[in-house]
Amino acid sequence: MNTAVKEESKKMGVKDLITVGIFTVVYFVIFFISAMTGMVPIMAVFYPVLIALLAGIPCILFFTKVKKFGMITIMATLSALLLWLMGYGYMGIFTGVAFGLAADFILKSGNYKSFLKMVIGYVVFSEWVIGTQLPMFIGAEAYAEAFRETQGDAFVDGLEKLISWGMCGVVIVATAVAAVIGAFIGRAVLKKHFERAGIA
Amino acid sequence: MNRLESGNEEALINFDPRTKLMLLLVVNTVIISDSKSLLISGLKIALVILVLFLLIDVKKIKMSVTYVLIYLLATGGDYILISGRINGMSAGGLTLRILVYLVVRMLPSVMLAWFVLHTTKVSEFIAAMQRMHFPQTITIPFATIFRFFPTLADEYLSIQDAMKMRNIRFGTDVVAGIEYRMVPLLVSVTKIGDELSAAAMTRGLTTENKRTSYSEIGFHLQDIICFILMAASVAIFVIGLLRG
Repeated sequence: MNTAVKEESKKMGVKDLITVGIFTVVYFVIFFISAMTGMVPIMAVFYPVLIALLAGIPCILFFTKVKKFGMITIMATLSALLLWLMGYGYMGIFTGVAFGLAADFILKSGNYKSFLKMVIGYVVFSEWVIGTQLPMFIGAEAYAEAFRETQGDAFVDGLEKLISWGMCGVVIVATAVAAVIGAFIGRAVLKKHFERAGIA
Repeated sequence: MNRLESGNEEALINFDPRTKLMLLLVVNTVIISDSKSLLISGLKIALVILVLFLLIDVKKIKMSVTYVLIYLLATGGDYILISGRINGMSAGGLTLRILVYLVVRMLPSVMLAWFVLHTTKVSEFIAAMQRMHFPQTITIPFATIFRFFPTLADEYLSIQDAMKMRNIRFGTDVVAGIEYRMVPLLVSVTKIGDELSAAAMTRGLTTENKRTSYSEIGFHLQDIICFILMAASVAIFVIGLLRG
């Protein structure tokens, strides 16, 4: 307890933890809506790209509020936990922790001020979503076949054509590109609206 | 148990927050699973009925009836899809698939989550988490998430109304449709975050000392029954998975 008081400036305060909580909810909702497009085979593979694009605005706003180490890790871990509860696979929890931690290190290296580091951090952070797809790429056909009964032949046949490790690479690259675009949209919105309103 | 202290005066039977969290975890895991084995399908029906009892417990009769009707309709839709009478990729089939997916795989969990949110005060939740020795780094974001889901929905609906009045729709201009919703939402989200921080300070969450709580939490007969039911559910679920 005593050491905690001494290091208070470095440790996360209640305000930081509440910020983490509310942005987790916003991110979760965007994730969930974007992932619903996965009912179409092509989006079942490419939904991380859509998320990276749409979540740019809230995430960049969140990153400007991050001043302590660990906030992004907690946010990514909690999102992954909630999404695991919604049926997006446990592997996302591991990638959530790993990529969240990496993003934390990147932002810290820029003293939580550098926009360039925020963009890089956001690109790395966005890649954790691939973890929710890993069961699909690892199980390949067996994974797709499991949906034949519930989702119909057309969906499964379409999905089977798309699953390969090469495609996984394409998704990773596309997500990174979308994250860069998302981050710049985020900054544009930040400049246009939030800074003026005094909340960024 | 003193009803005033527990804060959920509407419920006939009150449960400990920890029991409710475990219910949420078990029911969600079973309902969301893709398994079509007979054992697990039976278990799913039992849990759907359990959720119904919980809704009746808080005397939401209208909600219970709607819940059962929608679930039965979606099960019928699911049957049509599995029988292959509708092409799953046609416009109608896709809509039906999304609706069925949302209802069959999500609705029971959503109703249970509503029950947990409706009957658990934030202070009770924090007291329970503290009793389980969770650190603040986990408890506070979690409590915020719990508290925040309904707020976010309320805020979004208000913004949606405002934008309808200004005739800004997704259909006509997608970019404006997203920008004019996301920006006001994030502004109010940030402001609410500040208010919650102030509220947390007045509740003494910022002190390093161990907090005491006015909320009475503890396990009673209904909690023990719940634990036994959930343990049985987990056992049946595992056996069902192993048998395929």
